[in-house]
Amino acid sequence: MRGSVKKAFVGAAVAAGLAVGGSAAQAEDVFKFGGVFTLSGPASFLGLFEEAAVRLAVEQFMKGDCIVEAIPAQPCEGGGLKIGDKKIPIEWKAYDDVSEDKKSIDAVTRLVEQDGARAIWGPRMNSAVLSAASILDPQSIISICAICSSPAMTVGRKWGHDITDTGVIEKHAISKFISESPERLKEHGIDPKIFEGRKKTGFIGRNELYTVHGSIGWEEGLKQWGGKYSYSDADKVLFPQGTTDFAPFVAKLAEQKPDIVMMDSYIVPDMLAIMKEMKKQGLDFETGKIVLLGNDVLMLQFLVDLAKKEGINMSSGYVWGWQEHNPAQDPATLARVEKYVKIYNEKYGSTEVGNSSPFDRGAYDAAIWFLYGVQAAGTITDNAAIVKAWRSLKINGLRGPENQFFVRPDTGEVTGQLMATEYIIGVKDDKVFYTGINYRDDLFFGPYVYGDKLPK
Amino acid sequence: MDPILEIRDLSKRFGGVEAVKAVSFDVPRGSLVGLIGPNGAGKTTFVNLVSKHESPDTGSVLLDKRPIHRLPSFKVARAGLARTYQKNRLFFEESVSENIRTAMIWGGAAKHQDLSYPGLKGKEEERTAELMEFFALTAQRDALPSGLSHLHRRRAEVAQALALAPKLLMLDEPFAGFSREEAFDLIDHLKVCQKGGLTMLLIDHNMEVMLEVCEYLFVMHHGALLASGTSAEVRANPEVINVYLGAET
Amino acid sequence: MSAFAQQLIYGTSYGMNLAVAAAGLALLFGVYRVINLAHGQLIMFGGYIAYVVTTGLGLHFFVGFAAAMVAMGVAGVILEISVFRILQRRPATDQLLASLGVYMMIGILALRIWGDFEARPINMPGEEGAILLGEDIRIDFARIVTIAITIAVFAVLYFVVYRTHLGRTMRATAQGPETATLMGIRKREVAALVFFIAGALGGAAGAMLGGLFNVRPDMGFQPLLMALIIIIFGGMGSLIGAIIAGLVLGILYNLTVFYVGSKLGDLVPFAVLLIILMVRPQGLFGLPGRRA
Repeated sequence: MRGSVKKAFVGAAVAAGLAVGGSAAQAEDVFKFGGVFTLSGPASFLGLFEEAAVRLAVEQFMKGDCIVEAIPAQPCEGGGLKIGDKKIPIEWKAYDDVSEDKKSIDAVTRLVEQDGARAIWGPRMNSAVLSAASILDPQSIISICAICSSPAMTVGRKWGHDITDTGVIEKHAISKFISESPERLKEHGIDPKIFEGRKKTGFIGRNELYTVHGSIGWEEGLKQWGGKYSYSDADKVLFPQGTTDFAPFVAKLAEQKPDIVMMDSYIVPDMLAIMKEMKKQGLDFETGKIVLLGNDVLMLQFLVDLAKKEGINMSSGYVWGWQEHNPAQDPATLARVEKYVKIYNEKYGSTEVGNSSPFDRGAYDAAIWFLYGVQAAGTITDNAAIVKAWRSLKINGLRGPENQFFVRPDTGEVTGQLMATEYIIGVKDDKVFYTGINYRDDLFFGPYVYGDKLPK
Repeated sequence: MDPILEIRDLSKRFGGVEAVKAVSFDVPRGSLVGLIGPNGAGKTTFVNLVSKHESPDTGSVLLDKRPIHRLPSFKVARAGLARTYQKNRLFFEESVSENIRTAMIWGGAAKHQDLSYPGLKGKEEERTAELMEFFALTAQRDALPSGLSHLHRRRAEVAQALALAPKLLMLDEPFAGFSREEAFDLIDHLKVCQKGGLTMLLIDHNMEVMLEVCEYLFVMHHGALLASGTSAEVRANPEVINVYLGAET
Repeated sequence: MSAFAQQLIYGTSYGMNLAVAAAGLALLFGVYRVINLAHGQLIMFGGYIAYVVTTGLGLHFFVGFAAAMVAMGVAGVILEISVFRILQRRPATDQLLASLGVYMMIGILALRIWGDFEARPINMPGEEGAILLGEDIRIDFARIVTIAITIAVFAVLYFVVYRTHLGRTMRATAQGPETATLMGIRKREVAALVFFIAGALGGAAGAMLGGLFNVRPDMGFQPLLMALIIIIFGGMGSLIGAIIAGLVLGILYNLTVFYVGSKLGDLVPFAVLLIILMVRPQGLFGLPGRRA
C-alpha cells in the first residue's frame, strides 16, 4: 500500500566485461555481490544514495581510482580485484525492496539462490535485518550494511558487518555529551549553564526497532555516565509510521515535563512536525525551556535550513546532536572528500539520487574497504578468509583516517562492527558546527554492542 | 391520423431467441392504447427497446417525428418519453415529493406543447404539489417509498413519470397486484391526463381490464405483432382467441 | 481534567480532518459504488498543490486551499474518465486494484517532483497563535481554522447534496441508476460530478493536514486508512455518518494515545472496525443490506 511501484531490477551488471585478455569471464572468475535497497517508496531517500555510492565504488575500483586507501596498503589498479596475478571482474546487482520487509527478504533469497552472490549489502530495515541473517548466516554469506544502525547486524553474528554506528552507540555518545563536566564543556566553548539544573529526560521517536534500540542505548548511556539524568523507558513516546497529527504524541511527552528531550527520528517531515508542535505545547528549545537532542539527520545543515523556513530556530544553543564524520579534521580526509564529492555529484547530482551527503560517503568507504578485504584474502570463494582479511584492514576513508573494526575486549575477537567516531555538533547562527568533542572507544559497551547473542 | 410514436421493424434477439420480431405500428397522438399478449410474448422487451434500456438490433422508433432509437436512454427520456416499470423503482431513500422533484430536473419536453395534464405547468413546487394532490398523495409527501401502501406507491410512480412532463407515457403492468376497483381508480386518473393531451401506451396481460379501457389494442405473441384493432375487433380475432385459450393467460 | 479537554480539542480537529477525507470516499461509494484507494494520494497531492500556491507563489492560504480543491477535483474527473469509466462493468475487485495502481503511480509522481526527504510547509493563518483557556488548555488558531473550514465544507456539501438539483441527480443515481436514466439523468455527468466533488474534498483534507504540519509524499496513507474505516463505521455512503464517525475516531485516537499508550493509538481504528463489523455491519447510518 505504500507509495511506489517496484523497480524490479535496478543496477545491472557492472564491468563484467573484457578485463582478462578479451576472453569471456568464467563464472568462477567473476566476483558477484549484490544488494537490497530501498529505492522507491517513502524511505527511498535512505536507499538511493547508498546504492549509488556502492555502485560508484565498484566502478571506481574497476577504473583503478579508489580515492580511499587501505592500511596496510592494497593495490587499486583497475580491471578488477587483484587476486594472485589475475584480475577478477566485479559484478554488482541491486534490488529494490520498495520499503517493504517481505520484498527485501525475497530479494535476498534471489541474490543468493539465482544470482550466486557471495556477499549481500542490506537490507536496511531493522525489522528485515534479522530475517535476512537467518538466510545468510547458515550459508556463510557475508552481510554488509552502511546505514542499518542496528545491533542486529553484528551482535552474535559471524558474517554480519555494520559499517556505521548503531542506534545504541549513538545514544551512548549523546548521553555522554550531556553528562560532561562543566570544565570539559567550557573548554569547547559550550556554556555549562545549558545543562544546569536539568534532570528529567523524555524520549520520542517513531515506533520501530531503531527507536527501541535507541532508547536502550539512551538508558544505558545515562547510567554509564553518572546517572545525573532520569529516564523512564515506560514513558517513551512512540508514534506510528505515517502519523499526520503529532499533537497527542507531543502532549504525552509534554505531560512528563522533561528538561531534555531526545528526539530519535530520522524522517525529516516527522522531525519538523514534532519540533513545531513541541514549541506550541511549551517544550520550547528556542528559549531553553528544554534541551532538544537529535541524531545525525537533525544535524544536517539541510535540516537546519528547512527548519528555519518553517519558522523553527535551531540556533538557540539548546539543540545538539552528532555526526559520524568530520571532513574538516585533517587535510588528507578533506582532499579525499573533495575529490569524491566532485565525482559523485557529477554522476548523480542531477538525478533523483541527488548530491553527496555524509551518508553516501560512509557507504562508499565501506564498499571499497570490503573490496580491498577480498583482495587481501586472495580468494573470491572462501568467505571465512575474506572476513578475516577484511576485518584486519583499516581504511583512510571519507569519514576520517584509520577507520577500523571494533575488537571485543572480552575475547579479543575482531567484530564486524565499525568503530565509529561520533562528533558532537551544535547549531550557531543557523549553521551546524563541530564542537570538537568526539567519542569513540568509550561508546562500545553493553550487550547491544557486543556479545555472543543479542539480548531479547 | 397523426402518430406520436412510429415503430418500424423493431427486432431484438437474445442469443438464439428472437424476443421481438419486426414489430411495426403507430400510436396516435392523444390516444390511450394497449399492448397485450401472454407472458413471454415480448412486451417488456419491446418497451425496453423503445425506451432504449435495450438496444434494438434493427428497426426505428420515431417520437413526435424525431428518431430516438439511436439515442441513449437518458436522451430518450429528455425527448419526452416516460415509462414505469413492472416492479417499483422509486428512489428508496427519498420522500415522495423528492422522488417527484427529481424527475423535473431534466423533464419538460411537453411543456411547450398544447398539453394540460396535471403537474405540467408552473414552478417546480407548484407542479409537485399539484401532482401529489391529483394522486391524493399530499399526506404522504414526506413518506419514503417503503412506508407507502401498494396503491400509493404505484400512484407515486405514475406521478414521478408525469413529473418528467412527457409527450408519451408507457406504463408497464400498471395494474399488477390491483383489485378491479384500484385498477379503475388509476384508470380514472390516467383518463384525466389523456384529456389533457397525454398519449399513453399501457402494457398489461389483464385482458379484461385492457379490453375495457383501451381505445385501440396491439397484441403480441412470440415476439411478433399478432393483431391490432379496437377491443371489439381484438375480441373477435380468432388468432387472439387461440393464443389466449391455448397459451393460458 | 484540562488534559482531557485538551485531548478532546486535538481529537476534534484531527477527526474533522479525517471526516473531510472520508466524505470524498463516502460520496464515491454512495453514488458510484466504488472504493477509490487513489483518494489517499489525492489528499497528498492536494497538500502539495496548497504548498505550491501558498509557500511557492506566496498567495494566501485560502487561495491555496481553493486551488487544492479545484485541482484535485479535476484530477478526480480525469481518474473517472481514464480509469473507472473503462472499468465500470468490471467486478469491484478490479476497480479496487486499479485504484491501488493509481495510488502508487501518483505516489511516484509526487516523489519525482518533490522528493521525500524534505518536508514542505504550508503557511496557514494563525499558525503561531492560540486561544488559552485557563492555565493550560490551548486551542491553536490553525486548528480553529481547520475546524471552521470543515464545518463550512460540510455545510456546503450538505446543501449541494440535499437541496440542489445537482444533489438530486447524485442521490437518484446512487439509489437507482436505471430509474435515474429514466428521469433524463446522464450517468456519466453524475459520475464526473461526483468524482470532482470527491477529489475536491480530498484536496481540502490535504491542504488542511499540510497546513497543520507539513506536506510529504506519504501523508495520504493514514488518512486513507482512517477514511476507509470511517465510511464503514459511519455507514457506506453516508455523509452524516462520515462526520460523526470521523469525530469519534479522531477523539478516541487522541485519548488512547494520551491515556493508554502512544503505541496503542494505531489499534483504535481497527478495534472500532472489528466492533462495528460484529455489532452493526451496516454502520451507524447505513441501511441493513445496502452495502455492496
